[in-house]
Amino acid sequence: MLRRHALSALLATPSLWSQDIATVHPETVAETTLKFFSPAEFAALEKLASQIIPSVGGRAGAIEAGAPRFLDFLLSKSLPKDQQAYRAGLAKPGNLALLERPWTYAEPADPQERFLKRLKDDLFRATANSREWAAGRRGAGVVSYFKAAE
Amino acid sequence: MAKTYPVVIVGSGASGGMAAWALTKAGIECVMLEAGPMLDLEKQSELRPIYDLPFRGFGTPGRFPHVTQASEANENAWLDEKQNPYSHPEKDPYYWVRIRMGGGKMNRWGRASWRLSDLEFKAADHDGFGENWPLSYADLAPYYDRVEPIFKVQGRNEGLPQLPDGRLLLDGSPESPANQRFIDAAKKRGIPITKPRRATGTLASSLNLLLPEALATGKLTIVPNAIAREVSFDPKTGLVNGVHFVDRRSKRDYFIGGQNVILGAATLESTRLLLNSKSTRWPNGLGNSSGTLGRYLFDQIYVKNVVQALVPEARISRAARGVTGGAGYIVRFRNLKPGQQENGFLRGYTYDFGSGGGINPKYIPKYGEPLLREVADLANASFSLTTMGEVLPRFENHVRIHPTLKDNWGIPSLHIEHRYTPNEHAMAKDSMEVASELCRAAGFEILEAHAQMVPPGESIHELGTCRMGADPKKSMLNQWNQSHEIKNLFVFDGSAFVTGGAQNPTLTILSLALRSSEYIVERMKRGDL
Repeated sequence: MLRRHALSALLATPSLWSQDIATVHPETVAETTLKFFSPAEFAALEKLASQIIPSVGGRAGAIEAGAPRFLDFLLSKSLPKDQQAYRAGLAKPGNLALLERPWTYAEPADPQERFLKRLKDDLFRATANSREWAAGRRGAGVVSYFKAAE
Repeated sequence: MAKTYPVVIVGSGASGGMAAWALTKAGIECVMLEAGPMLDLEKQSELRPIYDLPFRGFGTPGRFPHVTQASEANENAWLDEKQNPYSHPEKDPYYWVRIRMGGGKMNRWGRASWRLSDLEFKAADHDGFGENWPLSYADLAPYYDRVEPIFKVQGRNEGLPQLPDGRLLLDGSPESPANQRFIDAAKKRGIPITKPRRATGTLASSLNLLLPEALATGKLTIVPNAIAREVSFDPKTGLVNGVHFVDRRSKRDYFIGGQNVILGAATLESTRLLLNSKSTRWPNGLGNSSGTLGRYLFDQIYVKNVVQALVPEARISRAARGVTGGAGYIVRFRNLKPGQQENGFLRGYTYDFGSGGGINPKYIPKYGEPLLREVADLANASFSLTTMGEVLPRFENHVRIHPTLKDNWGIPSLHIEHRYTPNEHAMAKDSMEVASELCRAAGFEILEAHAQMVPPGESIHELGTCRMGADPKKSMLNQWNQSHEIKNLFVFDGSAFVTGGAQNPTLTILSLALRSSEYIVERMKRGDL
């Protein structure tokens, strides 16, 4: 089988876990409850997400990709310093024009700029690594996964 | 049933694998202890959509604080940091990156295969800093000649004294227009460039290229999941007589006898093993009268994406095709003359560069629809370089046994102290300035230039801590990777390095292991070992 055919076949299958019984990932039919953000924080995050990574040309944006709800899950498992960065950032996110400042290797001194740039990176990644973003693109988002050894 | 083997080899990566290959082909029976499992890498891997991974590719939070190479797809391949802890001063992080499985780090190496030259072997003669190796390029060249074909190294010979030619598969691929412009800009400034020089093949590891041939001789026995904890010394004979190890899964303690012991557990693990092998005769680590065991730790500086640029005519909106693509290597050009110290630093650096592919959105100062349109427009417009530079070996950069910290098997852990000095900082800054100048001259648009080195260790090129030398008072090993003081004890891995240049070290580790293995064969035949 050609590699591209193999990848297409893989993505056409509803799940990789079972070759015979069709199943789905819970993300496709269910929603997680918020574990980390407060309702107010989550509303602020969704607003920023829709502005920073919108849906363009029919392609999923951060909202369509469920990026805010995924970040809630990720942050609920993250280290305290990362959790604190989000709490403080969402309390006072600042003007999105801060994202038009050039990127520098050193972290920006301005805490609002620092948070927004981090949020942009996280939203882009959470969106680009979603099933909604990959939909319709042959071979998108497939990785070689190294299984745990005994 | 317990038996004593002619040779016990600890580790199955580059140095242990080459030792087994060379010794068994000469008819010498060996037993190899590998701390991890022997895996069929193909069966161990499967294709999965990234969105089906629990953390969408972000990685399990907090699992690998020191392994930036770990992704959520490959995180099971790296050594678990919680089961295998180590320490460093809080303000001086050290990123110790380890793999334990058959083939060792050769299962994930970048495969770059450069020879060292006498600029490295005779570095002290060149600029007065540090020590020379107890061998010269001419001594090692015949072994490089034999190792390169085993690993099917591809590249292009340039006839440069600072980067000796090899026995290579010729890379005659044409340059993309963007890379050609860059190469022309460098040539005008007298900066030499060559093709990457890399081992080829689906897998280029000890696991598929050395161990199967060694096993085919019928002379190699491999014990996986065997974590060496101490090399045993017999005070009556003044020789080592075997290795104590712990079974990874059962935690049962074993001893295996050996007439000779070769350590190839990787730079810091072999040193840790020797430091943990204390006795009345050797209170500071086995064979360590010189006090140099654990000392002179170094690696190579990396400035990742020292310059991130874009190639303007490669924008999709300009309907450009075939403008970018391909990779190259800038050969050391600084301080080639004896005693030279250009721009305030000793030694020199190299770069990997490549063009094509997209640009990380973080570099694009936009958001919303303009960001997404720009990301799409620049999908093939990237040009970037990474600096790799020589680090000076210094006595104060060292490892020692932590007084209380132990691993999951009760073996005392390492404390690692490695700081970069003004020499490395000056080199990184110079590399940023030169890379920026070359990119501008090539007509590229610079998005970011910086001189921030990754923390020590991150290059996975840790070297030294059990170095060779002509003087037993200043070194642990002679030119045959043999202990100055215990003639049947050998250390074959990167810990034996005296200097490292900016070249990736694996090819040199393999070549030294081949040379020293043949020395052992000759001595065993004579009855000296």
